Amino acid sequence: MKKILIYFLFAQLAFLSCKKAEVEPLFEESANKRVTTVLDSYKKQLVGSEFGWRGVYYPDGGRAGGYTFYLKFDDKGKVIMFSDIDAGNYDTFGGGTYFANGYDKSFETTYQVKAQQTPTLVFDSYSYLTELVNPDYNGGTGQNADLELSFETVTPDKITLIGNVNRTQMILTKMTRMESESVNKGGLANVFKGTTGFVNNPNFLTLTFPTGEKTDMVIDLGAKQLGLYYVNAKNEPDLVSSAFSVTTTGIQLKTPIRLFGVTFQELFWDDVKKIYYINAGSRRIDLAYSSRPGLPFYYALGNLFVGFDMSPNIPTQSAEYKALYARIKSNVITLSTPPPARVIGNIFLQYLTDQGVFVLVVEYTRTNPDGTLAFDGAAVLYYEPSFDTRGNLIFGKSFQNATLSGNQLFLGASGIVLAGIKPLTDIIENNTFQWDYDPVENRTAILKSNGNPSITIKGILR
Amino acid sequence: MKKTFLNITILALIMGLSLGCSSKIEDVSAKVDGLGGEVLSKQALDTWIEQTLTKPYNIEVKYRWDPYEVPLDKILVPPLTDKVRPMMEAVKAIWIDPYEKVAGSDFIKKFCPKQYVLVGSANYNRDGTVTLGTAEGGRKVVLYTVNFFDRKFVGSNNDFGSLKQQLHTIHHEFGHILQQNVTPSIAFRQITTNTYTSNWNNISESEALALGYVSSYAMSKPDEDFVEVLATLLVEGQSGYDAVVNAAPNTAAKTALRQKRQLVIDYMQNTYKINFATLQTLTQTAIKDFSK
Repeated sequence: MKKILIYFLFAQLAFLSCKKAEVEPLFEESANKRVTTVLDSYKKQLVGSEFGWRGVYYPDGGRAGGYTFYLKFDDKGKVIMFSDIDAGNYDTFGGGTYFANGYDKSFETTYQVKAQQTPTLVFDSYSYLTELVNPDYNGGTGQNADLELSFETVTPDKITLIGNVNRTQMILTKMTRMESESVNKGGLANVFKGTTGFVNNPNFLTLTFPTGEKTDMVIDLGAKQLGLYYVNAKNEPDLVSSAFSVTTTGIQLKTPIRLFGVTFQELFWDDVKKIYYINAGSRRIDLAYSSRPGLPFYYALGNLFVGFDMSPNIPTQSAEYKALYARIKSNVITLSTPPPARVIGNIFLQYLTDQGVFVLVVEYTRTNPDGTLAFDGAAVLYYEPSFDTRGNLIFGKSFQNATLSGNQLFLGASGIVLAGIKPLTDIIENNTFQWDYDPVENRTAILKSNGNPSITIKGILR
Repeated sequence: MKKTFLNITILALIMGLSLGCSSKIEDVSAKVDGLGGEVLSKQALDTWIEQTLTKPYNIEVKYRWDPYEVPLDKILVPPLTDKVRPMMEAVKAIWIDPYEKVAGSDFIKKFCPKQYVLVGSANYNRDGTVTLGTAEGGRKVVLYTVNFFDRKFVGSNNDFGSLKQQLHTIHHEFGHILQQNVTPSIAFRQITTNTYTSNWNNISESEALALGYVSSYAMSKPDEDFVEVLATLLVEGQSGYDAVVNAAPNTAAKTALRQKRQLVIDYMQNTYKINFATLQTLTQTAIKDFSK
């Protein structure tokens, strides 16, 4: 029986051995040959762009902001790179940064076009792009960017790349002569520095739409995020936002903003006036800084500012508040036993957005006879806000008091300070208030009590 | 007998039949596309590596990004190109040269790891520790934190990415190759046999010292312990090791550390005919000269 089986198997062999290849290959060329051809053509295309490529890149789906890369590939595997990376924004785990700013200086690095499952562009030496991947930033995680990007779609003027590890998207567009010249002459650096100066203005950035709506823009150059606060059709505060990158002409948004009949995806830098503007159709709209936001006061509170600094030194501060401040300051000094005396500094209200409560912060110091500080901190009192039927604000006492010392918060506050500031807390706790922007002072609001006693307090918005 | 003969005949017949059919000889000399490795254009740095390390010692230095050379589940980056040469100069001066002088160039050619892969960042582990270097099968060494390399600090103990730590890593990894080729005496693992633990990262350096270890990582395995003692003896020098011994809070730990030291010295002498005191002095001199 066994033998029959063996003969049978041998007989099978006899038949099979004569089998010729009958399968017609679907492609004329081998898979290897085809991959090599594609890789060569991609490389040729990258090298072939006379003025290089502009890459717009959003690591982590835009959550980590946006970046522009200006890339000039050569056929020797080198690439010259500019980018709107600000080295000052990062701190490595070991301290310090590796680079000068990416917008100031070009960086020569290397690349490969090779098959890694799919045809892939690999930035294989350290470069500005590597900064976004480096886990020494962000405590071991980096910013979820990619060094290996595969070719997704390729047209003569546009190449879409997708990261092999984190699936991030980089869109390469052929650069023009003008753009290339601008980059090489420091155009990117100029816009970046201009933008830095522009966003560091302490006032509120307003964009007024052609139909009259005033909106407040917030540009965070560190996080590369832009937000636009506005009042929506339901009369509620609303926000549109987008990641952005800085280019040689201004700010390029990841997603276009459509609001009040205007759509824009780019903000243009006016280097003469040192301001930004958008194009609404054929019309230019300048962004303007103003001393008060476009949003109504209570909508802006918590979004555009959180602090109300009740400084007695505001030039138009009310006489009654100046007197009150002087009184509580001397109260606390007098009550301070044993020495050294507690000396009150700033007093401000701060809105804690995540908890929806206000804190009244009374900063004070105690100085030893030899000039050293025995204490430098603040008493912190908590208030829960509510409105009465007429829309007046009520500060309801809540939680326990606390003391801020160093960066730590401790339960309980100094009885001497609490007793000293009682004239102020009595007013806050036993009144209803109206609160709105100050028509005369910049970045200032007025907190006005409705009698018992009637007092007006001005504060600087922070 | 007859049957066997018959079987063989049938087999021969079938073989003949099957072979007879293959009339066409396939041309296998044609070039296969995509094979032959990567052809990268040579930079000045590549020439230096070739002349200094590849030709004399058959050591490859890979500094351009290749995800398949490093752990795929980790976020890692290539090193800053400027840091590659100084890093490898330190490797040559402080690791290859002393061994070559003491044990001869054949020794280093035989045992040296044949591939160095350089990574710019640290290798962050999920348990909060950081890996500075790894060795695989005596062939490949991966060095992390190359971006932090600074010639000035080679001999100093600054905090993160300490260059002493990197040198320590190199000597540590080479120690593994030696120790994997010839297993050290069993007496070594019997010195502190009860306290090896995989939870070494939860043990402070001072606790490890009190138990007779040069570092907490040495507690992970006897093999690690062995190369930690070796690397500490070379990188910190005799006085550095003595300082570690003297800092130990109890006599048992002091004795254990001295025993370990002696077994390492004996091992190097008996197995590889290396005079350890000379090697130690040469390494120390190299560190001083390099960071000048």
